[in-house]
Amino acid sequence: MSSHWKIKVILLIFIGAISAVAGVQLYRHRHYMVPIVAGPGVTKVMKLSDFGEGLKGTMADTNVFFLEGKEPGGKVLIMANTHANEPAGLLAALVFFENAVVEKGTLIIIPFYDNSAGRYTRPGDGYPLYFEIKTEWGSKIFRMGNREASPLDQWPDPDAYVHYPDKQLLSFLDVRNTNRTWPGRANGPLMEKVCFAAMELMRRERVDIAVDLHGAETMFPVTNCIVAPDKSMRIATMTSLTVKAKEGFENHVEPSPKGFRGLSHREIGDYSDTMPFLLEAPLPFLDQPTGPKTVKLLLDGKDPFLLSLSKKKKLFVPYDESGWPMEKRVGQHCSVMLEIIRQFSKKIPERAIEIQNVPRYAELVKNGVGHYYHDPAKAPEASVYYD
Amino acid sequence: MLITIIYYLISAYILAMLIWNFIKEKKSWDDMLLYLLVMIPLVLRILRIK
Repeated sequence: MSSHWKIKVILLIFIGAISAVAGVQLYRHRHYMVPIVAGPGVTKVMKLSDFGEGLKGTMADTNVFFLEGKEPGGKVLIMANTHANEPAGLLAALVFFENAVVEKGTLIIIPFYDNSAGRYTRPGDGYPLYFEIKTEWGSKIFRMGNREASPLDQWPDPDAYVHYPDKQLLSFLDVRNTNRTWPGRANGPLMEKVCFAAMELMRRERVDIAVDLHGAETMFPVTNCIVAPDKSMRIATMTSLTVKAKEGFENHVEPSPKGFRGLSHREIGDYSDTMPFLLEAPLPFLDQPTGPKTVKLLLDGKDPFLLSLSKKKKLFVPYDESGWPMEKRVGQHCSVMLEIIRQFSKKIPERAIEIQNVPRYAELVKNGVGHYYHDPAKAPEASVYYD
Repeated sequence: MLITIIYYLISAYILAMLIWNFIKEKKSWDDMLLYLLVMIPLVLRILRIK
């Protein structure tokens, strides 16, 4: 073998090994299924593709869980992992999924709304592939996802995304962002099909309230808040005031801007009878000037750089040595959702929704999030779903 | 769909060119290394890993 071929073989082995190690990890991450245990309230399971044919057989299809009460009433839809790198929403939706008992009305949960984004990550930004939530029976492992859907599922990106139907020019990346592709269309790009199917679900099921769960940077003004259009504003305001008075945490109200298209809190309200609410919990992990993007930072929200910026009043949320732990963020989401449902039921009693057995803020902060998840190994096989 | 197929064909074509250049390169080991590094994202995309 000549000397240049010896060098080539050595280089091939070296690069091949690096690619194989990375490739296997990325492949496993994309195909890892999270076991979730249906609670006593789950009565029916459908797929999002049942509401939009175009999703059948794609990575964007996802489970839709129905928790139907004994008495008729209103309907509420909870969507989490719209942005799969904002996991407090997913964890809160699963607290509802595994524990809620519906007495009146119907609760519909889509825990992994952008299923494609949940199977795609940002190794270049140092994102972890997974994170673990401690429970009494061990650790529950979740995929850490990304803001946008995977290019493996929707490609190519345009130079600029022309929003449908308003024709507003958005960033090219937003064509894969399921919080810019509302209200969607049946024959559009895959993420528009996801939003179209969710709109169809809301229209066909006559959903009264839709809650879209998110997280946002502490340096971003639209954080720690409820974003609501005019039609949802009264309930959002009452919710904000009530959780502050009764449970002691801030969650201000932001009006949904009319000129910024594609967002759930804008388009759901404009294109259906449903009242939309978008909840933002502070998420220090997303802030730019932090230390390494570790699982610890994701879960406890503690960062020395943010602490220093907080002292200079550069953050939009209170921030001290205790950071923004996950249980606090999940607790806020749970309490705000329960309060929105309560306020809606007071306002429209004939469409009332009654949900029991869901912990509120103080209980989640005290017991931790993992306390409310059940062991898939010990649960009846029929109640375990893989998402 | 058609654009996606064309994209994969272009990726395969560029990958084939890189492999050809890698085989033809006889002197510069750093060029050989660069050809291999540039191949990584193309291989991962064609195998639908990343």
